[in-house]
Amino acid sequence: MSLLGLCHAIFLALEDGIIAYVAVINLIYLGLLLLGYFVLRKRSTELEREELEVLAKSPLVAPVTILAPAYNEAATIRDSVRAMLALNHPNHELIVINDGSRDDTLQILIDEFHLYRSSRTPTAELPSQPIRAIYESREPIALVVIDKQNGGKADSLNAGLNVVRAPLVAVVDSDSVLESNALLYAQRPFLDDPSVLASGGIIRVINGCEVSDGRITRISVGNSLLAALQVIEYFRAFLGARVAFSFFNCLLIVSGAFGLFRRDAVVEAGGFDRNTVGEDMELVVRLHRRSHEAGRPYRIVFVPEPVCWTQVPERLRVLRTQRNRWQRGTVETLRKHRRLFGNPRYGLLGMFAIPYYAAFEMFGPLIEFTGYVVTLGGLAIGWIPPAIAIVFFLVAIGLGLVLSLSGIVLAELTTRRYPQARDILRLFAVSVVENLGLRLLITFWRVQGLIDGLRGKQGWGTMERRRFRTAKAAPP
Amino acid sequence: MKPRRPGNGITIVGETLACLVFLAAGTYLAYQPLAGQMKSSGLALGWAAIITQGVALFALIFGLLGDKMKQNWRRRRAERVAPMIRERAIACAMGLAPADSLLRDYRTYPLETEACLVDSLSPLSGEQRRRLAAAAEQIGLARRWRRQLGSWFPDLRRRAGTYLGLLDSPADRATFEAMLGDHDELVRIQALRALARIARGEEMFELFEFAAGESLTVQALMSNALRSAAPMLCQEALTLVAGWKDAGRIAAALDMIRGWQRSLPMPLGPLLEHPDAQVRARALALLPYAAGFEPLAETIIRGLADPDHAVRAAAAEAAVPLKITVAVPFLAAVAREDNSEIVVRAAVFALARLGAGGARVLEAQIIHGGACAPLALEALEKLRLRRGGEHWAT
Repeated sequence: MSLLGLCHAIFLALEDGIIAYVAVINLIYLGLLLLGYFVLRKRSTELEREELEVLAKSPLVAPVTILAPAYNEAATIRDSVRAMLALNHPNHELIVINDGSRDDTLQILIDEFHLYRSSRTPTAELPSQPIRAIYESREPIALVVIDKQNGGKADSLNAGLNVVRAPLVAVVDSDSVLESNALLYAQRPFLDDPSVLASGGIIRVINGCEVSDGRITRISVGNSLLAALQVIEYFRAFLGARVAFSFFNCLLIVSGAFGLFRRDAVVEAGGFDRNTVGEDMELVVRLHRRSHEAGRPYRIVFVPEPVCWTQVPERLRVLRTQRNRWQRGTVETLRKHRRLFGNPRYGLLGMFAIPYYAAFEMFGPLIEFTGYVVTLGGLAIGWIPPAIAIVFFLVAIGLGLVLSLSGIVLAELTTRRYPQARDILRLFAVSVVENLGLRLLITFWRVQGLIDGLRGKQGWGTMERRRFRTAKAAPP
Repeated sequence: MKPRRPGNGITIVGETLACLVFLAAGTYLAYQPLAGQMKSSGLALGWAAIITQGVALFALIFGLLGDKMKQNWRRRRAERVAPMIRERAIACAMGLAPADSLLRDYRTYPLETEACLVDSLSPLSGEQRRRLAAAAEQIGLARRWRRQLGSWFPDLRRRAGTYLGLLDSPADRATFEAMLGDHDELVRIQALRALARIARGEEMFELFEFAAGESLTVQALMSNALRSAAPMLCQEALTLVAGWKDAGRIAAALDMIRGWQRSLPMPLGPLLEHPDAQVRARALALLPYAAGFEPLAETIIRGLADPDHAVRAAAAEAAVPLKITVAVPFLAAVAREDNSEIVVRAAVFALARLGAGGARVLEAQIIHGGACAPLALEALEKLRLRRGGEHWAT
């Protein structure tokens, strides 16, 4: 066989391999979505209002401390803190960690909540940047503010963990808005099963919604195409994959935007890793790993009810930074815990969850991108007929579209948060646009993130914060 | 009682696999004609998968949109007919209209009639509630709810249990007892709540005992549901609780009693001497609610010397609401010497709240740079700011 013939044969094998990969990924995603649907249908989880009121006053419900790291959050911090203090829970405290903000985040908090410099003593010694001061409120509200040197999110969370006294800690992004019963719902698995180490809730996109006094007053997809695209992504990720992974007790991510952890387990594990940008995933994988190695029964669960609304990027530049960071976080975590890969000692975690993340979340974008490049290259040099190339692209787009639509349908079948049919139709339209170009762009950014992660690049990049939309005042 | 249904896990995996097999069969059917027309079998398979999944999705989407339209139509209809039905339901409850006056409504607007009847039942009591419950029985709603208890969907079972519980019918006792074997916790909660409404005397204790073996969610909710029986349960049942073999269950029972936050006579003596530390700690936490219990100071001081740290911390915390100032020297010793951080913190915060004597001990600790000096500073600071150190003392 000539060299050219060999190249041709390798090329065709590669093309077939990519098609097989796409088919497998489609099958797995579809399986996870279906499993997620049946799990959600078979659970009766929504407590009645009367039951929630009883739980919200019960001394049997353990105290929870909310940790909210804040970096340059002056635009939203006031509303966010008010909303978090007003959550429905019998005994919760809020610790805001000002991570060396360069805007007036700290001053706003001091003025708004009448803070005084407190002598609060630490309860742990997790590594973090030096704390400049701890403040507490003179008002009868359970608010603590830690002012520390800038060190990143994981560093801030460790600083917060060092002064927590409650047995449970909720990790919340300070630009997020929690629904009033979110804490109680997230805590329910801990009430039901003492072996639960962590629980994570659904994250929803707040862009487009109206917020008043830290509460969502109107739910809508909004007008931003990028935000709507992320609504679909969040549906797919949370209602399909996470529900299914939680079902098999191999959930690898409790979102950094909202998750509840047992404090003693986190402190014993050494707190959040300050050397990764994917500190949420890394901690969860570490908790899994330590529990497996110690032979302790444990559960890390996903709870579909607690809804945390978070801001997503509306500019391509910011979205690119975020996706790059997420991809690097996945790479860093999987590299750090590579011992788990295919290791039967870790059960489904080692045999399914870690290989799945490695094959489809870590290297998936590279394989998908290679598929596009190979097809275009083959088309250019005449090894692939145009008709086949077109069909390949249509198949790739079609399978993506099917998954996006499945995510929307799953959300509608289970949680039904968007009241207007207009929003659902808009999401259907956006899912078409997503698969006609935006997905390719995101895939490219993720490939860059993969390369950066493998090279060991550090840093968070910038994230924009906007004021929440409020309802327009009625004309006089 | 054993669950009536197979575990959810097996069912869920089975249903998922069935759906995947169904989709695979559809894909294979679509693949046959495509394979002949396309050069690449892989791409033909891809197309076949898209066609199959696309058809399934569009069927679902149309179904969803249809369902949304149906719901909107139902909501509009409910807005129109609900006031009329509710009026008839109230008349029925007042004895002004016969029970079967709702029968025609139920036949024409079954869901709206169900909703109105349930809404009307909730706030009623006594004879009015009994009349309306009889109407629900007569028009066939209760029969429907009993049938729904056998549904595969837990939400439906739970709703049916909730509604059936509103009828306060002792005849349904066996039904509720069977519901206690449901594998869904929220269904069991509804059964317990319904049983709590119709239970008398000893039956209350049986429910209390059952709830003590359930999760904290159930305990918290049942603690509230059994509040009316608190005096009876505290006086008579606590003696029985002390005889249980499972210490975890005793601790849960004491937690439920603490949930009432009511000052009642409680025979805590045997529980304070219990060999299990978690029981002793829970009993000490109940001490502030144990009306007329003696000797308080001696019990607290003995608790502060307990070998278990949770018991010592509970004793320190109990000293504050009971204002046991004679415990100050013992608390001071614990604050200075105890090797458990939790106990030291509890003792320091208790000292801060036990008046001038306690505050002087803490000031001395700060001046002499004692081991608990930073905690003492924090406690006194909170005291000065009238926060009382109530937040997160332990």
